[in-house]
Amino acid sequence: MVSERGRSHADVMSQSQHDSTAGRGAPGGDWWSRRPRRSATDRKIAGVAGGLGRALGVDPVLMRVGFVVLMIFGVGVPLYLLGWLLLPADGDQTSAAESLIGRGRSSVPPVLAVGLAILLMISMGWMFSWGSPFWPLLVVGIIAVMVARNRRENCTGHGGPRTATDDWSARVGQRAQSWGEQAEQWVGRQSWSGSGSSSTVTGDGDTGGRPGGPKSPFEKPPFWEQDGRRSAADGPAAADAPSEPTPPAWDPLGVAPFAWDLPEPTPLPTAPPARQTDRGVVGRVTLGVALLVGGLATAGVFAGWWNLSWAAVAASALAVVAVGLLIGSLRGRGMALIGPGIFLSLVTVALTITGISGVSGYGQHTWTPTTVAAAESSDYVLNGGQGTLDLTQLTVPAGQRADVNLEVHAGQAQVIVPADTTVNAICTTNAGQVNCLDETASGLHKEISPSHPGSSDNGTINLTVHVGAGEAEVTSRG
Amino acid sequence: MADTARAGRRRVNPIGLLLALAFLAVASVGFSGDPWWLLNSATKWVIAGAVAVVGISLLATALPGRNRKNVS
Repeated sequence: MVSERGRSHADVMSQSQHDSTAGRGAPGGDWWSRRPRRSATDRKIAGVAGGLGRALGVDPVLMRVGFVVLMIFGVGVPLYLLGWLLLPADGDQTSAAESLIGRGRSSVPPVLAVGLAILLMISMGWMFSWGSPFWPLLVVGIIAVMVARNRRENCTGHGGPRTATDDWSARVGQRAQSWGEQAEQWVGRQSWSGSGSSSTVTGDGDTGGRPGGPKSPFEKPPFWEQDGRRSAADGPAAADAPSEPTPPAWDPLGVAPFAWDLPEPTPLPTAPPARQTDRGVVGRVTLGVALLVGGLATAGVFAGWWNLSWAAVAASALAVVAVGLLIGSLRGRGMALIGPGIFLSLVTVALTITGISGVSGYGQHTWTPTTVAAAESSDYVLNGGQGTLDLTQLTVPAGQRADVNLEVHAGQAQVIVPADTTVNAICTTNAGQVNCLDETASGLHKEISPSHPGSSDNGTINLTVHVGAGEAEVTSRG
Repeated sequence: MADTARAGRRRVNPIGLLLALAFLAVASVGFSGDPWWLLNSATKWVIAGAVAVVGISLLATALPGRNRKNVS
């Protein structure tokens, strides 16, 4: 009995320790809680390679070689730092990154974790220097993973699958009940108890259903047996009589069911109902103020009160939503503002890339300057549409220079330069394609600076073409 | 009593907090008018801001009256 009890207790303790170190939701949890752990023994720096090798069944030396090879391509350092931050060490409750936001304990000090995060950002900046467009994808991916995890935790928090704590509690309850029954049976077997069977003892000295057993020294049966006795011996009238639970006169082991009849625990006080209204109030007030600010900024642009770009107008509403979300998040609320915030962010980014401002300058325009003064004094700006700048009739005297700028925020910018004039062009685009004097580029944030040699009898045209979103094209025509 | 106070206390929503800061960063891009401002010129400010936010968070959690749950 003792050995079995001891073994069960050891199992329970082992299970409890495993639960406490396996992370949230383990065992049998999601993939996040079952991710590899950094090795505490096989480590050179932080045990990332050792832990990954142990989890994958690969020699950790090969994992280290792989990290070194990846470092050549600029990926190894960020990956190792990610593992350091996101993988918990052996014996830790959670990873360093999660411990920073208060989701458990980690052996990595917070200062070191912050330093690792900064190093990770810098190394990823280097890694993505050749492809800054991947930054938004990375951010969106991280947000998606966090939102998915949050939803899964909410689902498993109420009515979800049984957790390790539930199983442990059930096992302890069953074992306690078993011990109680064993103790009760032991008492029943004693000579002084006089109760061979708890359901058959009587107060007048009989031995009930245990023939040949000792006679009870008490005049009355224990109170927990009075109901059954009354119902069996005294008839319906006695069975209807209310029983008064009184403790037995002599119960040194505390085995009477009265001792086990503990009151139900007092439920924890619930949150005040006022919290339910916080979400609506913060969201409504924030969206109301955002619409008010956005509408006022738009009205000012249309009325000419101020010269704001449309990106700034959208950013004004977005800033209000961000502040509202910040306040709501500090109060544990504000999730309803995430959707409008994402929408306004996309609108703000799109409008910033294009750079559209004002209410005029849309459609198709063609400019044909003939003199240097006319070419330099005019602003060739188009908000949206197609703008064509024809410089074939522009005559630049030898030794002189004409600085010409064309800007199309969204659409196509086309410039035609004379073939016998030297042209130094700078063509840029935030998003789109550049085809400038037989040099092409496409993508985000592109800039090329080609030159076109001309006759020494003419001057030089310094041409700058910028397209926010769309296509820039510069061609020469003789 | 402490449990009652802890239960009535509102927990910070980290996802909302991060998204709020991201929205503020995007809004700053819109105000600047340069879509690459955040990546080119403001990298140092982003890093400094992130460090400041972490520092403020640590200070806020260490303030008296915000005694955290004793895990040990």
